[in-house]
Amino acid sequence: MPHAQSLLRVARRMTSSPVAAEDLVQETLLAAWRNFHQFQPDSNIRAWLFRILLNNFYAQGRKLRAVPPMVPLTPGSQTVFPVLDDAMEVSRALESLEIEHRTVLLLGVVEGFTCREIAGILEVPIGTVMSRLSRARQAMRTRLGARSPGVAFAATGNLTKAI
Amino acid sequence: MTCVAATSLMPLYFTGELDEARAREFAKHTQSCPECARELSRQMAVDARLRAAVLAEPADTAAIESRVKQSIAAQTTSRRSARRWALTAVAAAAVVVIGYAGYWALLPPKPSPAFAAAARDHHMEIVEGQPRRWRTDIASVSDLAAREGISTAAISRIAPPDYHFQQARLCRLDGVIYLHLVYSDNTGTRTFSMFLNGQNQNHVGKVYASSLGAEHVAGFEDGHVTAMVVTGQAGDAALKIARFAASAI
Repeated sequence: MPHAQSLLRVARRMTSSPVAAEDLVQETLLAAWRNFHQFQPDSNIRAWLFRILLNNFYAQGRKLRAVPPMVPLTPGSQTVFPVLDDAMEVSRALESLEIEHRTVLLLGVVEGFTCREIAGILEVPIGTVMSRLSRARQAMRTRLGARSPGVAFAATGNLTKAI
Repeated sequence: MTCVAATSLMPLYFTGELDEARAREFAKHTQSCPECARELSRQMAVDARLRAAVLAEPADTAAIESRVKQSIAAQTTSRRSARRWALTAVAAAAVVVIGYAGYWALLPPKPSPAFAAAARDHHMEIVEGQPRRWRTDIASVSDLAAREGISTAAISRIAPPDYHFQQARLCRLDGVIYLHLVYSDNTGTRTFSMFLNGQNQNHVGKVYASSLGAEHVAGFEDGHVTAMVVTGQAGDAALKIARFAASAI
């Protein structure tokens, strides 16, 4: 099914568990099938799917929004895979952002939607999207610090990896 | 351009949404302002790291897709049997009505799925008022109507004199695109939807009427045009409107 992978990628970063993410995507695809007659043929189907996903997500309230579960990772592995280390650090920074900031980064930076499209998906003014994107980028930078990518950080004994 | 203005435009720069003039000014500023240039490259670096981190994670959707397909198959089967029951009930009611009042026209051998879809669409969008992007200016509606071979004049002509055009959008019913026109009377209390398709595919039949849930539907074909009228008004309002439209189109 087209766009299912994109939906899952975003859902995983927004929900509390991989199971909740899969349920959210499944609900989204079924809702899209049920309501396909409402889809405007001259509009963007990918944006329409994400709108359903986010509506479902917000409709289900806070139960989906807990911090993702963390599992311990052996400290030694940190320095072996610098790329993985960076992905983990970025993931942790992303997870610590407010949900509104996380959403615009996922849609705009990862999924490549324009500000106008994001405004349509979230049903907010484009100015709101722009300021959220600016603040979200700023927050990511603050959390990631000045460190350049690929450089492993020190093992502290309580390192965790998002699953 | 000031640094503040350049910073506020950065989101549009990243998504390529700056118009030509602003893109030129933005480029001019970032070329001459080292602070903004640095800011831009820092943001680009963070974006690249974020993309790499999220896209590196495999997203296997095979299990989800299989569950969705199973669910759709199950719902389609149960809907079919539910529809069979509903048809029997509608047909039985129609026989009574024809015998009793005599005004219901030809009933089709089986109601079209487009009828049910039209009733559902009208109920969700007009009765429940779910947010949709409607076109209300006649110029842009004329463009949509032209695709279905409907003239601008016909948009107002096909409604009975006590109704006026309110809004329109395109929609998809049972896999076919229709122009959904909404009309209401001056008091705003009586409303109906008119679904028009200019590529007659013979899926409605001759003039006939049916009731689905709280909605009454009447359809007709005229040349290449397939039309369905949906309204919550009781009695034979849908059929009367459909007959009026069929004579005016």
